[in-house]
Amino acid sequence: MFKISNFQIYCMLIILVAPLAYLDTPKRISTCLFNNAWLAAFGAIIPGLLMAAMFLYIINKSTSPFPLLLEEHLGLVIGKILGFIYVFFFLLITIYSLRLFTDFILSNVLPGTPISVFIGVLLLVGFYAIKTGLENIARVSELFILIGLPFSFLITLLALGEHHNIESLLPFADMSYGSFGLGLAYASFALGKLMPILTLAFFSNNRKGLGLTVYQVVFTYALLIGLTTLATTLTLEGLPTSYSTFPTFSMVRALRFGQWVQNIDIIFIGIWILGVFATVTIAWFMACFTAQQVLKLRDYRFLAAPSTLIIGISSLVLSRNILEVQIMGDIIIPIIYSIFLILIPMVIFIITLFKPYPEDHNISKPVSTTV
Amino acid sequence: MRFINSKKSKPEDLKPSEIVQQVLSTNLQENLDKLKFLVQGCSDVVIKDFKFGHNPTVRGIIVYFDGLVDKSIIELNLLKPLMLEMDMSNQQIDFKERDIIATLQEKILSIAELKTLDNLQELCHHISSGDTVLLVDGYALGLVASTRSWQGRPIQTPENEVVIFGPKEGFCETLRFNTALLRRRIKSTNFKIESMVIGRITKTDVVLCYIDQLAPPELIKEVKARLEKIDIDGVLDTSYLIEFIADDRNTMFTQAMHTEKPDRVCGNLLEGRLCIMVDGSPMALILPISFPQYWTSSEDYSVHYVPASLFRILRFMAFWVALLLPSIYVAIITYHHEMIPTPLLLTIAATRQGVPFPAFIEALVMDVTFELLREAGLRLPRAVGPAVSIVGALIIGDAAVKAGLVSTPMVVIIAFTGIASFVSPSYNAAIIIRIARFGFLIIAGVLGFLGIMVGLVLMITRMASLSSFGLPYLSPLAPFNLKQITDVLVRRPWFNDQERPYLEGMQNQVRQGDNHEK
Amino acid sequence: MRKSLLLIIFIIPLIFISGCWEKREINDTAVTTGFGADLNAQEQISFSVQLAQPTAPGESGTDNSQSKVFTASGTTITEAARKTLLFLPQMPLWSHSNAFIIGEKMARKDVSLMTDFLSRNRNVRPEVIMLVALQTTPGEVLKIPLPLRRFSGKNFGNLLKIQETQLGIYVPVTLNDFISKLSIPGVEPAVPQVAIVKEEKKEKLILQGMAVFKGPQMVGSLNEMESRGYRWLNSTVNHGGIIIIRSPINNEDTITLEINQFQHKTRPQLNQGKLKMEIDVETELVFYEQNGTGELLNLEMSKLMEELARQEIEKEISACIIKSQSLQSDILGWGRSVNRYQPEEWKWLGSEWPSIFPGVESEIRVKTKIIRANLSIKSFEFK
Repeated sequence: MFKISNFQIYCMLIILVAPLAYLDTPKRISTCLFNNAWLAAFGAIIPGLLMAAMFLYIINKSTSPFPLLLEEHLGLVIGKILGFIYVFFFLLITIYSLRLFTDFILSNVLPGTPISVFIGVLLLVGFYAIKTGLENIARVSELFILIGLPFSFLITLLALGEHHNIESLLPFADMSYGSFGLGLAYASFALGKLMPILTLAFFSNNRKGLGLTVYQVVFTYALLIGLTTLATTLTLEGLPTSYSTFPTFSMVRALRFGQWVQNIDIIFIGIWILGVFATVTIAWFMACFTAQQVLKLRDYRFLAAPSTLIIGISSLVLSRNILEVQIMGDIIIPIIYSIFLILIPMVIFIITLFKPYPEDHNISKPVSTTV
Repeated sequence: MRFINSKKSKPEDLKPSEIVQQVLSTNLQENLDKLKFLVQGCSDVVIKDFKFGHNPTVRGIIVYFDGLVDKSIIELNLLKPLMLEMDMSNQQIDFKERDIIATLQEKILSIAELKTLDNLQELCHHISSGDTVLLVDGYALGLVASTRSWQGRPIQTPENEVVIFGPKEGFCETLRFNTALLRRRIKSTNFKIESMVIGRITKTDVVLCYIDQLAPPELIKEVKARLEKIDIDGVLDTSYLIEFIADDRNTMFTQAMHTEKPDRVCGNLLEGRLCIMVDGSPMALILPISFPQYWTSSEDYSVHYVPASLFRILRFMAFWVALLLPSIYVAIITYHHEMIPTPLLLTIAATRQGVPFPAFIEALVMDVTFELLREAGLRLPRAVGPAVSIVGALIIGDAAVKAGLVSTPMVVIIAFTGIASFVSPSYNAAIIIRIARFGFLIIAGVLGFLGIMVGLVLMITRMASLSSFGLPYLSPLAPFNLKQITDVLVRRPWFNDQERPYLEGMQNQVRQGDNHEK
Repeated sequence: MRKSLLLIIFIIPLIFISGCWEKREINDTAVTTGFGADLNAQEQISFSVQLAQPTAPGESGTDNSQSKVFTASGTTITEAARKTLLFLPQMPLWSHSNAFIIGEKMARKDVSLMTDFLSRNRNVRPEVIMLVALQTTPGEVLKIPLPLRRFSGKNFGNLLKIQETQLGIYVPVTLNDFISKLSIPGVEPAVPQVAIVKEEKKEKLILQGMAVFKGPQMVGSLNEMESRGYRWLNSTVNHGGIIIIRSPINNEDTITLEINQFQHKTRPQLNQGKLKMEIDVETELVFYEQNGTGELLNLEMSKLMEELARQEIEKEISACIIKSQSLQSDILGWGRSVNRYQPEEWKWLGSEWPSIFPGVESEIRVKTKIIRANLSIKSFEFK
C-alpha cells in the first residue's frame, strides 16, 4: 500500500475546504455581519480547531479508516447503514460543488454555453483523475495548491493594497450576538469538510505529524477567507457586498494594477477551476472509496464510471435556477453538512471517549490492497 | 470485432542450418567445411589457410571479416609469430606434450586480448564483431584475437545539444569509444559498465552504466530485468529500448532522457541515475528522469549560478509560451475581448479586417504551416535549406498577410511560439510541446480560456500519474520537495549543493562535505 | 482500437458544432469606448454609444472618422442599448467602455433608471468613469473628441486624473464608488460634470463643476471653489493640485502654492446631544511661484503664507459644506462617519438623517506647512 505525505494531505484538505468557500463564504457572512464579516471569518479558527482536535482524537482511538470506523464504533448494522448514507452524502457534496461552480461560470463568463457542456467537461477530467487513483489525486492537488494558493493570496493582497481605507471596516464589532453566531456558523461549517481526514489519515506516512497538518489547514483557511472577506469589504464596502451574487468575484473585477493589466477575472476563474476541479474530484473519490469499503468491493476505481452518470444528471436537475442554488446554499446545505460532517463525528467522538487507545500493531488496512 | 484478423505469431530465430549449434571438431577440414557453409554469400569474409612455421605439418586457419579488423595487427601479431618467428625461436616447443592453444596464448601471440571458444555460434558472433579467430588442426578449440578496428565517425561536438560553456565532446556510434569517454571522466572502479546482448539477429551490444553504491540497487535490478525481457530482432538505436522498458508505454511523455554528451551522462550518473547505451547509436539514455529535468541544460552547470538560474527561468517561461501562446491568443480574441487593452484590440481588429477565416482556423493553419516549414528545413539537403526558409519567411509571412489570408498578429504569435519552442534544451520535450500545443489550440477554440484550463488539468493529471522507473514524473513538484525544487527552477550554487536528488532506495545521498565556509 | 475510434467520432463533430455558443470573432464586433444615457424629448431613455473605428498602426485617418456615436431610444436602458443593433451590424463589446455619461435631464429625474443596469451587467466594468453631461446630452458629448486623442470615451479617466494631481479641482468617480455611495446610508455621490463650450466655431469639452445627487436625483452642482473644497475631504489620491493666495507683502501680488500631500479626517463629536463634525486637514505645500517681487522666503513670511493658505483652504471647505447643506445632500459622508464612529447614536439619527444633516455644525481645522521652494531659495529680483 502506498503512503501519502502530510503535505499532500494538507493540500488535499485545503483544496477540499477552500475553493468553494473562497467564493461563497464572504457572501454568506457579509449578509449577516456586513462590514464586520471578517471577524467571523477569523473567528472560524476556534470552531475549526475544535473540530480538527475532534477528528484527530477519533483517529487516535480508531483502528480502521473512515467508513469502517463507523462499524467499529457504532456496531456493524448501524455502521453499514450510515456508511451507505455517507456514500450519497459525498455524492451530494460533489454534485452541489459542481453545480455552484457551473452556475458561477455561467453567470459571469460564458452565459451562452449550455450547462451540460461544462458539467460534462469537468466530469470527464474528474473521472480520469479518479481512474488514476488516490496517489495521483494527491499529487495533482499538491500542484494545484502550489499554483492556486499563492495566486489567491496575491489577488487578495493586491486588492487590500489598492483599497486600504480602513474606515470602511467601522463601526467595529457593531453586531448582535445572534448575527455573529450565524456568521460564525457560516464561516466554519465549510471546515466540516476536514472530515475526510478520517480516511486520509490512514494513508499518511507520518501519523504523528498529522495534528500539525490539520491545524495548519484550519489556520490557512481562516487566513484566506478572513483576508478575502476583508478585501471584499474594503473594495465594495459592507452593504453592497451583501448585494452581489459572488462578492469575491466582484472584488476581483474591480481589481486593476498598472495601466494595462485589467479585467483579469478570466485568469482568476482559470486558476480557480483548478481548485474546484480538485474539490469535486476529492469529494467524488470519498464517495467511491466509501462505497468500496462499505460494500467490500475489490477496487473503487471502476465505481468512477457509474457515479459519473449519477453526478452529471443530478447536478443538472439539482435546481431550476440560481435562486434555488442560493437558497440551498443558505439553508439546506449547511444543515446537511453539519449533520454529516460535524454531528455524526461528534457522536463517534463521544463514544470513543469511553474507549481505550488501540494497540499500535493492530491498526488494520483498508479492505483492498490495490488502493 | 477486429478489423484485421491476424493470428498471433511467434518470432523465430533465423536458422541457417543446424551446423551453427554444433561444437568445433578436432578435424580442421571438417570445421572449415562447416564454416564455409555458414559464410556462404558473405563476400567480405576472409579465410586464410596457413602452415605453422616450425612444423609445416600443422595446419591452421584464421577467419575474419574484412573491414572490421585492423589488418596490421593480424599480419604483425598473429601471422608473423605463427608463420615466421616460431621457427626462429630458440626454444623448441613440444607440441606433442603441451597444449598448443595454451602455448600460443601464453607465449607466442602478442595480442592483448585473447580467449578461447569451442562452438560455431560463438565463432560467428566473434568474427562478425570484428575479432579474428584462429583454428588449429587437431584441436577442438578456437582462439579469438581481438582485432576490432573500423572506420567510424570520430568524436565530434554534438549537433543537437550545442553549448557555449563546458565540455563539447559528444558520443559517436562506436560503443567502446563512448564507454571510454565516460570512464575517462569517472576514474573509479565503482563505475560499472554491465554489458548484454539484445537482438535476435543484430546481436547488439547494450551496456548499462551506473555507479555502484550510488545508484539504488533495486533500480539496477529492475532495469536489468526489463532489458533482459526484450525480445526483438534488432536494436539499432537506444530509442528502441525505451519503448520496451518504460513504466507506461502508451504516452508521448518520454520517460528517459536522450543525450549525446558524456559530461551530461556523468553528471546524471553521479546523481545515482542509470545510463543505457547501444552500439551503433550516439544517443545515451538516462533514467529515471522527471519532467522538470527537461528544462535543464548541461551548460547550466558550467555557467555561474546566477545567470544559469535566470536562463532556467527563461526556459521555463519559454516552455509555457511555446505550449500555450497560440491557444491563449485564440481564446482571448474569440472569447475574452475584455482582456486586451483597447488600442491593441483595435489594432488587431484592423489587421483582421478582411481575413475570411475564424481566428481558430487561422491559428491552426499557421501552426501547421510552421511545422511544415520546420520539417522541410530539417529534411532538405543543406544546399536547398536556406531557400526553403526564405520562401517560408517571405511567401508565407509577408505575402499571406498582404493577400489578406492571415493577420499580422497571428504571424507574430506563431513566429514567437516557434522561437520559444526552440528554446527547450531537450528535443523530446520540444516534441511533447509541439503535439500538446495543437490539443490546446483545439480546446481553446471550443471553450476558450476555460478550455485551456481544462486541458491543463488533463495534462497535469496525466503527467502526475506517470512515473519513470518509479520516480514520479513531475518529481520535485508533485510530490513536492522543497529541497530539490531549488535545483529545478533555479540552479543551486555548487557550494550549496549538499545532497543528491532523492531517488527511491538511494543509500548515499550526501554529495559533498561542508563547503559553506571559505 | 474500437474505443479510440468511437472517441474520435464523438470528438471531431464537437469541434465543429461548438462555434455557436460564445464565440465572437473580432471581425464581427465593434469596440465601444464610452457610453451614456439620457431622457429624450418623449421621456424615453436614449442610449448613446461611442464606437471606435479600428485603425492599424501606420494607417492614418482624420480625427472625425475614428470614432462614431450612435444613439437609440427605448423604454428601458437595456432596450435602448440593444436598439442600436437595428442599424449596427456588429456586436458591440461593452466591456471596453471606460466612461459612462449621464445626461443632465436623466440625472435630475431619476438615476435609478440605469443604476441596476450598470451594477448587474457583467460587461460594464466597475472602474468605468462617471460623468454628468451639463446642459447637453451624452450623445453630443461623445461626438466631440478630446484634443489629440482618438476616442474621448477612453480618455475621460486620464483627463480627470491628471487634472486632479495638477490642478486639484475635481475628484474622479468610478462606477463602483458611485453605486456604493448611492447604496450606503449617510453618503451621497457627487459626480464631475462635463460641458460643451463653443470656441471660434469649434466645440470643445470642458470639465465644469460637480453634480450633487440626493437619493436618485441630481439636486444641484458645485462650482469650482466648492469642488476644491469637496476634494479636500474626498480625495483618494491625497497629493497634487495648487492653491493661490495673496502675497502677505503686497496685496496685489499672488502666490501659487503646490500641494505636496495632504491628509483629511472627519470625526463626529457629540456634545450634550448636539452633533458637531470635526474636520481636520493637514497639508504640506511647496512654494511654486510668485508674481511681483519681494523677499518671501524667510521664516517670518513663510509663517504668514502658511496662515493665508490655511484661510484659503478653510474658505474652500466651508463653501463646500454650505453648498451641500443648502442642497440637503450629504455628499461629505458625514452620516457615514457618524455611523462609523458613533454607531449607537446612528441608530436613532439614521432614520432622520436627511432632515438633521442641514443643521449639523462643523469645525474646520487646517494645518499647513510650506516645505520646499523648488529650484531657487531666494525670490526673483530685478536689478
